Order: sequence, then C-alpha cells, then structure tokens
Amino acid sequence: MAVIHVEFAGGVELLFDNVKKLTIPLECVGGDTASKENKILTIKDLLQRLRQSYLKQRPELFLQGDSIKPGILVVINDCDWELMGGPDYALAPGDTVVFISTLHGG
Amino acid sequence: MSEISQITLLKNAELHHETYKAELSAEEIGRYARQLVLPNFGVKGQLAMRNAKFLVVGAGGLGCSACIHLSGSGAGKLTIVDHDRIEASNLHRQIMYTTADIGRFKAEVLVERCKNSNPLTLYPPEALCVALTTDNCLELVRAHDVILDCTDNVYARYLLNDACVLASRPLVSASALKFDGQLTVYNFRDSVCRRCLFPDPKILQAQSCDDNGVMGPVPGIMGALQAMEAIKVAAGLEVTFAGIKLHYDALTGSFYRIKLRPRNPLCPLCGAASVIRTLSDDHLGTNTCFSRQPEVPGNFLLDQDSRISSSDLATAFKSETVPNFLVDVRTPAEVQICGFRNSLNLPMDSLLDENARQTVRQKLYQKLQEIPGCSSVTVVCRRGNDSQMAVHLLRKILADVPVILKDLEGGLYGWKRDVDPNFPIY
Ligand SMILES: [Zn+2]
Repeated sequence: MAVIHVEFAGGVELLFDNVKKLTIPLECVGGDTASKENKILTIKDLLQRLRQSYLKQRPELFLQGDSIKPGILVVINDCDWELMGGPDYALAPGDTVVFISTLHGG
Repeated sequence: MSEISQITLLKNAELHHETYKAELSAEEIGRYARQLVLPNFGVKGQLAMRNAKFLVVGAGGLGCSACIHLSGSGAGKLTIVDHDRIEASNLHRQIMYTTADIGRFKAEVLVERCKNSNPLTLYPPEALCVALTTDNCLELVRAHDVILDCTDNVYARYLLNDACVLASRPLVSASALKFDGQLTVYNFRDSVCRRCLFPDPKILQAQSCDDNGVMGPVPGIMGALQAMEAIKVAAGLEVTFAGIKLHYDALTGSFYRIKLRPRNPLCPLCGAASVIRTLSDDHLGTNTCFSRQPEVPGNFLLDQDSRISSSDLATAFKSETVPNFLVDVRTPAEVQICGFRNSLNLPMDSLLDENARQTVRQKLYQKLQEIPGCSSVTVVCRRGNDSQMAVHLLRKILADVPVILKDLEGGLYGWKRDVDPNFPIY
C-alpha cells in the first residue's frame, strides 16, 4: 500500500497529542471522495486531512485559514516546501513531510 | 673558538641552515597546535581567526558555549552583549558560570572566563552589559565580521537579522527550547535571511516565551555548533549550514538537515523592492513577552475586586468560613514541583482549547459537588498573569453556575513574597 510519512518536531507534536511520527496511506489523504477519482493529492489536501483526523489541540496554532501557521516550516523529503512547489506539491508514495516549529529560545 | 667550529658555522650560513616559523608567536603555536596541524585549517586558518572580529549577542546557554570555543580557538576580537544578570536557574545550562557568580552581569563574567581560558587573543574580549536596541545594533554589527545570534527572543533575533542584512554581515544563528535545537547561517552569500522565511515577527512574538524550559546540554551543543560555523566563515572554509537548517531533537536523537529556499526576491528586507531600510520598532514589534495575550481579544487584566491577595487567601485558609477551592492553571509538570494541596489542575492550554472545554466543565462541576456550599473559586498560576486570563475563560465556561471567580494576585511568586518566604519558586 502506498503511504506517506508525516513527522512533527520543535513543539508541533504537542498539537497532535505528542505523536511525532505518522504513516498515512496515500489514498486516505484525500478523504473518501478523492481517491476514487484518481485526483492528484497535494500538501493542501494533507493539511486538511491532518486538521480533520489528527489535530488534537488548538488548531489555530497549526493552521491560519487553509494555510500553515507562520513560524512552522514545512519540509518535503528534507527540502523546504518552497523548493518543491509549496502547498501545491503533488504527494508521491514514500514521501516524508515534516512540520517543524521555528525555535527562538537560547 | 677553534678553527674547525668556525668553518662549520660559515658552512651552515652558506647553506641557510636557520630556523623559521609562521607569523605566529611560539606561544600561539603551542596553544593552537591541535588545530594548526589540521590541513583544512592550519596556519592560514589560524591567521584568519586572529584577524576576525566576532560579535556574540546573548550570554546564555548558547553564548557560554559559543564564546568559550571562539576565544579558545584564537578569535582576534570577541565582543559579548547581554544585559542580564546570572540567576540560580541559569546554572544548569550556562556552563561558564558558577554559584558564586549569581547576581553578576553575564557578559562581564563570560569575558573574564574567556580571558582566563586564552590570554593570547589579539584584543582582550569585551563585555557590553546593555540591551541590544535599534540605536546600538547597526553600529555594533558593522564593527564586526561575523555575528552570532545567541539571543532568546523574537525581537532581538529580527533586530540582528535586519542589521546583518543592512550591513552585509553573515549571521550564525542557533536556538534551543525544551529538547530541541536549531542552527543555520543567514545572509551568507545567497543564503536566506530570517524574513525570507517568515517576514513578520509580530505574528511569531505571540507564540514564544522564556517560560518553556530547556534541557541543559541542548543549548551547549547548539552553541558549540554555532562556534564551529562561525570559525568556518572566518577561516574561509565551506560554510555547511548556509542555506541549510539543522534541527536536533534530543528526545529521539534525530538530526534533520533541511535544504532551505533561496533568497526570496519579495523579501521585505533583502528583496529587490525592500521596504525595510532602517532598524525600526515598526518592523520589529515588541521585545516584551506576552505569552498568550494576543489570543484573547481585549484587555484580560482583572479589576481589583476580582483578585485576592496572598495574605487574604492565607487568612481564608485558616478561617474556612467560606468553602473555597483552588484551580491551578499551570502545566502538570509545574504542578509536580510545588503548589497548593487539593487544588484542581486545569492547564491553561485546556482552557484555551475549544475542544477541551466540555471536559473542563465536567471536572469543575464534579469538584463543586464534592464541596457542599462552595461558592467561590480561586485561580492560581505562577506569576498571576495567566490566572487573570483563566478567570475570564472560566466565567464563560461556568456562565450558568453561581460561583465567584477570583485569581490569586501575583501567583505563587506573591505567595512566597507575602506569606511564606520558604516556598520554592522556579
Ligand atoms: Zn530576506
């Protein structure tokens, strides 16, 4: 089964019940309808799926509207998502997406 | 002198049998021996270090580790900026300070330690026990070659970022919080600046606070990495973490190495049509820590009638005429440290979380039923800020229940100050 790996770091995991790693079947990312239509699934779809099924606390600290909250870096296969097409990046089987908060302590 | 030895001397002179050494003193060669023999660093690197001027802002956990490595490695000039004084709660991670240093200026003590560690630097290290501001920052940055961001707040981090872009200086930045650390080099050749990633510090200021705690070794590790990158910048070695961000998760032992975007042409600071041309608080927001204020609209401060002082609470405890119970809004970890017995722990996060409000309501109902005739609830936190906001939130949650909600003015700090000087604070 085609899956993607999702990881949370730098405090983002606190919003997901302290879960640091998730494996999500790719077909689940788009919800019930999308998979049958062979729709291309993007990071945008992943954000919605995370909000609906995994985000446990304070969604406003993870999302701002439909987009990611400023301060959280989205990393696709070790690259800043801006290098990969941002929210429209088409997810592929085996991808690893990491959400990392920017730390300011010292 | 005999004839034979005279002949030998003459011959040696003809063959140029004399000694030489690099442009370093014998003492320097002895001290830096272990890095001088490294082919990638060597004499060239050492001379570059001696000529380099380093500015370190922040003499906390990151700064302690970064500075002692820089001065040990032979940094020609090292300036350390920090206006804080040493507290007992710093010592677990700020490894250059001892118990006897409590109360002294961090920058002053750190400079002392660096001098003791290495008296051979070209200039003696210098301490500036002042806050970094829009007035002094640019001049300081311009007077140095490599800047290290060892600060602990969003305001200072953006202030340094802006100054480094305006003055064209590389910014070696590290941070540490809880079990996590991060490192990257901003504004080196074509690497991003902080604003290329997140243009507006004001949005970030709402989320960060110094109350979060940190494991001792994490800032030490990150500060050492920071010194290493700063040395590489100065010595002309390839700067690995320019355009690459390192994230260290000590709890799982994971190191993430993230390739960052290129400079953002639309960046308000370093972009082609930049709008930020000077250092200004208009672009930086505030340097005060408001941990949660922006999330609750309006003024959350309580009027005096809704607050109870520590001494009044102590009296109420003794008389027990009015059945009263306490709600402690600190985190469960904090509650384990110290507090009031038989209080109900409802962490601030659960009060702010829409999804958790039903559970909060149930717990409060249950507690109220356990105490017949209970008509008042006192909310407690560490310092008396969160408790005020909690009263507002609890009034909404308990809108239909006839209880008087007050907060303990000054929190546990106030209790220690006015009632029990032996009560621990953290
Ligand atoms: Zn920029």
